[in-house]
Amino acid sequence: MIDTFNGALTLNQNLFRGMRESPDVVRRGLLLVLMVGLLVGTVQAISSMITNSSPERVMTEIETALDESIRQQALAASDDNQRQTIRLITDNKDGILKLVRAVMELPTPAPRPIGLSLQGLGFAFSMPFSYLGSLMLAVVSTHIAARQLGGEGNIQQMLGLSALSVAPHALDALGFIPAIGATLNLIAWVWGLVILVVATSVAHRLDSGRATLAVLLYPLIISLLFLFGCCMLFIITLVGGLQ
Amino acid sequence: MQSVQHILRLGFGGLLLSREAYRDQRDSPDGLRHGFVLVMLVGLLLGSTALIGNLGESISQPSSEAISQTVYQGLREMPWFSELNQSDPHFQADFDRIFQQVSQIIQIINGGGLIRSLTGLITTPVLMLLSWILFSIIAHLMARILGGQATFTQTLACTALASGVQLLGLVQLFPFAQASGTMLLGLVASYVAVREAHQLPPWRAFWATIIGPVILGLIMISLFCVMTFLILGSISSLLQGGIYP
Repeated sequence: MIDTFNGALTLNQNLFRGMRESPDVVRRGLLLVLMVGLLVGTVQAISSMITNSSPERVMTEIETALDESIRQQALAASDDNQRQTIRLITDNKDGILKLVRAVMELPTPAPRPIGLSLQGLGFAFSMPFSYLGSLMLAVVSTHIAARQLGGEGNIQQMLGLSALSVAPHALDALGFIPAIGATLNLIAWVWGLVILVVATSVAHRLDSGRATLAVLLYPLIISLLFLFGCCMLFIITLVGGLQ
Repeated sequence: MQSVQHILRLGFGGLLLSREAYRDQRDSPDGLRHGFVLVMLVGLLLGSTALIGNLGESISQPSSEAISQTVYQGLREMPWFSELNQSDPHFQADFDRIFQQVSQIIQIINGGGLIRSLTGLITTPVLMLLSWILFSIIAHLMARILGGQATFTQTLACTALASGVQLLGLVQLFPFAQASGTMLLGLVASYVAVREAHQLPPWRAFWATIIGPVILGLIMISLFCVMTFLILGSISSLLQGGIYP
């Protein structure tokens, strides 16, 4: 499994071709997703358990988020109704925080550390499924596009090889580091995209250009449709306002 | 015991999209019987693990009544409540009524917790069985129209293997764990099942597989829209007739 992981990260063509011909290509791919998901989930669960173990820290985070939300809404407020809503939230801020604290301090049948551990465990085991969900969307849209562009691979090869694109997301385990977490996530995403293009190219025996097009085709169409919808909504609102 | 192991092996074959597993199932004289047992077994396992997971969740959370009572008290202690209470003599009674009705709606949406899990022991296998048969009927009709050769028994035997994907849902054994993202994998497994059962070319197998879920999706979206409008309408009428008479 470690060899598969390393081979995926280094875009090892022999590994990709070997997996394409392997009868257990799906098993190997899904095992990689499981391994990366559990690694990231465990690290993030421990990080979140440390944060949530102190109610004071949680309350400070909620208060900071509430202040930031009020500040942003105040900046965006353009009429009296919105300003009145912001004043209402500001006047009741202490009451809201007191309510949150009261709910957090309610007694539970099991001691709080057990509850926190169970939540951490659930989070850690959910992470592979989170990756699987994103992966399946990418696999299905890319496979359909690749077949339309003349690809020859089957869905098993596509799923198994595309699962290798989850490997760089092992970097997500470091997402809790405030300064570099977001940058590492971005690097993992771009790296994963490159692996997905190579996987599509190998699975469907397509050249790099067509493989890139297959990966980007449906996301681009959906983005353009969304953009078109937003523009139409903006124009309709503008015309309605002018009338 | 050996039979259960064989059935579970079939389920894992379906989960891993093994073409051999689907072909063996198509050609096996016991394919339908094994498929039926697999669907029921997966349903029972899912229902049991959901029950255990929900038990774990319920011991690590405060009761919904305690949360409701705390929120009620907290809202009443806020400045906005005092302001409105002083300006409107009916406000407190209206607030109590609306809070109670909103709490009931939230409890209905959240479901009955452990009671729902207990009933899930029976409803999960039954629902899985019904959805397996319903999907197989639509997929079989579409596949035959598109040139498929399999008998209905072979279609049922192969599509039952696709329920092996639901074995991933056993992760619900851990409280708070969510097995998201398995729906698309289930659809892909169903595609492989239809393709192998009817020996159809990829695009024909795709259309035969997708038409059933699309019809179901449209029905679900329509029902969701109707429910949303009904709930929003009742909340809106409550607010208009309550706080602002």
